[in-house]
Amino acid sequence: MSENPGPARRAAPKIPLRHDDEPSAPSLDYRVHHLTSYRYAKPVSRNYGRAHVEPRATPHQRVLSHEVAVDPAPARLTAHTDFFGNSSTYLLVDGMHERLDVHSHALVTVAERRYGADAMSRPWELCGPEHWGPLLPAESIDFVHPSPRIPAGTAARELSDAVFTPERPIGECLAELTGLIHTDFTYDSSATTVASTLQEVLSARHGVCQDFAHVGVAAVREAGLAARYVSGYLRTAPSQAGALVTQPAGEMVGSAASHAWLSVLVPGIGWVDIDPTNRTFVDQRFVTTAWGRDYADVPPLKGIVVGPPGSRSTLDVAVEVVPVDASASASEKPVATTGASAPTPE
Amino acid sequence: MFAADVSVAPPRIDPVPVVLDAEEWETLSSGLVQRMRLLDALYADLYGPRTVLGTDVAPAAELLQDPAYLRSAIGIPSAGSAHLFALSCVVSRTEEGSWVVHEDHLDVPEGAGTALELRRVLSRCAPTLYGSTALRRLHPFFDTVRTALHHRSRAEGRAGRTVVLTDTDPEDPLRAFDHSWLANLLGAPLVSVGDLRTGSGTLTLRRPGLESDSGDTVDSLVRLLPSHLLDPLDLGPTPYGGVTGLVEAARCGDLQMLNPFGTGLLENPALRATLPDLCRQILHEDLQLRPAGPADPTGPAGPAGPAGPAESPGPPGSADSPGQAGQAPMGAGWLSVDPHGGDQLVERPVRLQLLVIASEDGFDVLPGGVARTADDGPEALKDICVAVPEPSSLPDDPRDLQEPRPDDSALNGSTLEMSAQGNGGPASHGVLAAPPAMTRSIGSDLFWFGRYLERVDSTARLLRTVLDTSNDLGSEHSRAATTAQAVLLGAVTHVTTTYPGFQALDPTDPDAVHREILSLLTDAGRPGSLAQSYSSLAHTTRTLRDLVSDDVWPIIARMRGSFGTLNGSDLQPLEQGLTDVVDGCLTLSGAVADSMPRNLGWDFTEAGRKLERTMGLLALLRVALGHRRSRAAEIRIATAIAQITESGASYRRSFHAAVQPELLLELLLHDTTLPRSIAFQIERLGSTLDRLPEVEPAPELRAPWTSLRSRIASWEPRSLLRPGSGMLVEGGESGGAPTAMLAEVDSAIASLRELATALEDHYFRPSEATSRWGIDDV
Repeated sequence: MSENPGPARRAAPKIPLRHDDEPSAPSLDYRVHHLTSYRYAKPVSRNYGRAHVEPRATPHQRVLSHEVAVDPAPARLTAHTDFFGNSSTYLLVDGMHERLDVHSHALVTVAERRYGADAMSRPWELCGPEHWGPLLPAESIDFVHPSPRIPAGTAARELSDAVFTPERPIGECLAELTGLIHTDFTYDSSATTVASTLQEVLSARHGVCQDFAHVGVAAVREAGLAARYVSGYLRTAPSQAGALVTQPAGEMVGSAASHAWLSVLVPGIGWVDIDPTNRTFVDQRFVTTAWGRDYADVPPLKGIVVGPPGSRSTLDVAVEVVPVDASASASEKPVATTGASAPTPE
Repeated sequence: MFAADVSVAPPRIDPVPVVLDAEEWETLSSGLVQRMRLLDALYADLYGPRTVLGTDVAPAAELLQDPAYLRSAIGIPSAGSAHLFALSCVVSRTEEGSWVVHEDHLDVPEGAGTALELRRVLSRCAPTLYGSTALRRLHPFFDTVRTALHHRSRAEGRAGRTVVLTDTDPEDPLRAFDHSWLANLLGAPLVSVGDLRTGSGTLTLRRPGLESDSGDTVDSLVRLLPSHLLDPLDLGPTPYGGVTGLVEAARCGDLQMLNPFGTGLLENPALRATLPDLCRQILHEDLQLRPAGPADPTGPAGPAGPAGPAESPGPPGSADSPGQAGQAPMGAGWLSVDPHGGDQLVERPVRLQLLVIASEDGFDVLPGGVARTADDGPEALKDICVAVPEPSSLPDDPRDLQEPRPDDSALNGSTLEMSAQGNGGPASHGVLAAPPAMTRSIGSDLFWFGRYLERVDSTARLLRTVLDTSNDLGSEHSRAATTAQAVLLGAVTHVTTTYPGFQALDPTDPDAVHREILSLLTDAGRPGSLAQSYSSLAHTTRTLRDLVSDDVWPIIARMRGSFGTLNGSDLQPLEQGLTDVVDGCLTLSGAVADSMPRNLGWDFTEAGRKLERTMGLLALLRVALGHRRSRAAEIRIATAIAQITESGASYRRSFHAAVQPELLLELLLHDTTLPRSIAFQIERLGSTLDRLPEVEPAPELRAPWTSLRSRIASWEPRSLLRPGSGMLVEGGESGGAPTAMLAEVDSAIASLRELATALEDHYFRPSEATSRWGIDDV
């Protein structure tokens, strides 16, 4: 890929830089509804679950309200703040049941993200831990090292070398990385499962958003910088008459429900989020729920069911993330996103 | 140790103890307590606010990358003043006389049981030494720990229940032994992950039976399993299933994890190297025990040569020099038995495994432990003895001094289990006692305890009679005698299911017969052999501590002794050894009948015993009387059966005739007054079923018994023994004509098997499967 920089550079997204003369865009309010439904062929007796579905506060996002509802009524429903500061929900349904519905409702405000040109022009070599200074928490070192799903020594090294060329500005590196993954990998929801290893994804060059995020994290960590895996949602098209839709708005690509991208630590700014799946810097179309070292730290919902041996289940997942105004009147057009961060047309 | 463990080579024991005088012990134990306080503070921080990661002192990168750092286990509250429960620390003394630390074991702290067993063995071997030397005893330490546990886990208005969690099926018998010892010392039941279930606000012990039945509440838990095997929801997939939701239960305060999750992080090598700095930063003290560096080999630089014969070890236990026996000069070597067989004691480097446990107001160090030689010679275990302080200085625990006598287990009885039962002394007075625990695995062990008890008894009786009669019949040289002997030998093989056994032998070859009998007596690896049944019997008792009777342990141990005589060279001692085994079974039966509480556990044991006895007797009758023989042979066979079933006297009282198969059958099948008859077993089994919970709604439990009972009631000995209408079956025992009994007994045994399986499925086996979901659903 390094001998073909032309198309790759052309595919890189534009960096959302802050300009003093440009007024910042207003914040957007979203109503989020994430529903996970299991149907069991035979009744099961107990169901334990762990969820990371509550949107979290970030420098660009405020959570106005949030609620997890479980049907049938749970014997226990608790939440605590986990190691990474995410909200982690535990649920237990005790008693025979044939279905399990987990609803997550939230109201969030998402601000525009723009970055200072100075910090984004910093050479990437000056973004490693030794340059973080006293203001960044020492625990950020956690995101420099390999993690369970992102081992060291994968083919992500080549990608990293192609992106992080000597003294290249970090903003340019991130844009390039976003574009390269988008160009070199094919989005294919049938190609992988979440159980696919990073190495498999790297050699098959197919995957879904989780895989692309893992590839990006691996490449950044190979360069010695901190990168974390971020889980969240994309804005969806407004719903029709109350039905949940899962189609992301506009030209956006996402898996059936939740989305994933990565975030890179840039001294002088903080964490900068990029989405290789949609070839864009993360903007007001994204709602953040949780982050960790990789997918294994923050699966949206996982659990253990106790039931008759060999019981089967079916799963439906639906997510709706609509601007509050739009959800009030379904006929209204989607709110335009800021032009600077819209995906570049092919 | 359990007889089941005979395959594992027992550790070598060096009888010369490592003796530490009071002053040296004070130095060492205060260093260990400081180390535990430091590790406790580190744990609290690393699984709490994590401020230490932000300092320059802690190796943040190494800690964060350690898989033992369980991120999902942060923020779990600790109910006590301390976070950690136990540290097993391996130290050695350098040549300069200072102590250095080699290993810390926090995640799974082991060694307590081994230390006590070692003390017990040695104080029995050298009672003078241990009796006349003022050594600190080990039991008072555990009494204190147990009292602290009771106070910590006491729940509102009732005694708290502490359980010790161990492997489902430990592969290493020494570890299993150590675990059960610790459970005994703590007065806590030993449970496995399958016995526990989390719910909405409680952790419960799963009772035998239906899923919906809620069990006893567990208030606190000591785990002897590594953290990652504990909770498949929050700590990753586990091979044994784990206890789903355990992390959340601890987080919500449903229970106290006495030794919390993720303590393995504190064993991180980079962290250990920075402990001196961390100690200054956190405790504002200098670390007393420094880590052993690579330049700190345990012992003298060279391999432990005979470091000059120690001047005479001195008569052990000279009363005027307490604590001096076996003590080494300052330095790294300790007086030891020469591993190369020399007569003189030599110096060998050793590492000491010491145990620090949380007490009510801090941490205490067990005044003793296990030392392991650490040179090129074969490893040997040594006891660690701590001398009682000179009378001028005050002892920390007056109870240490109240009776300067050997460890009380040595006096209490011949088995380790008994000493563990020792009541905690004054410390445990006034403490509420939690009722004994009942779980699926305990229920299953009780059921199999009953079955193996009967199996050992019936196998021993069968073999004894066969040995007896083969002498008589062998000298008789009649055709009837030959037939009878062949039938009886075949019966041994069939009843014990040790095929091909005697089927593949010439029953008239005395050497081959003798070899096979010896194998059946002593080969513990052969399923169905007497030794294997005994091993299994002893094994089932491992969790049955307070459920059967304290009397059981010495009996089991004595029976093991009987097996020592069963490899004899001539037949007479064999029969005597078998009689000892039968006597052991009788004693065990008596202890169970006289001392065992009549509760659910009793019912499981009873069900197991009655099932096994019925099956064994039916199998014997089927193979011995299933084919018609000459009258002379049949009478000889029937006489042997009467002897095996201990029914000769009853027979003579009932029938004034020689033993005839029909009359004997009448007695063994239908006499409800005869405790070894089939009818007696069936009736007892029926009333046991009446007492078991959940039998009524479960037809699979009642139906096999009902059909069995009516089938056997319909049996009439004469028609049972009538040759079947039809062909002679080739290869029947000595070619006799098959009788109607064969098919009838087969059906009856099938019903019994059905019932046994149904009992196990219903009460002891999980009827449900767990499966993971969601990890792939994105």
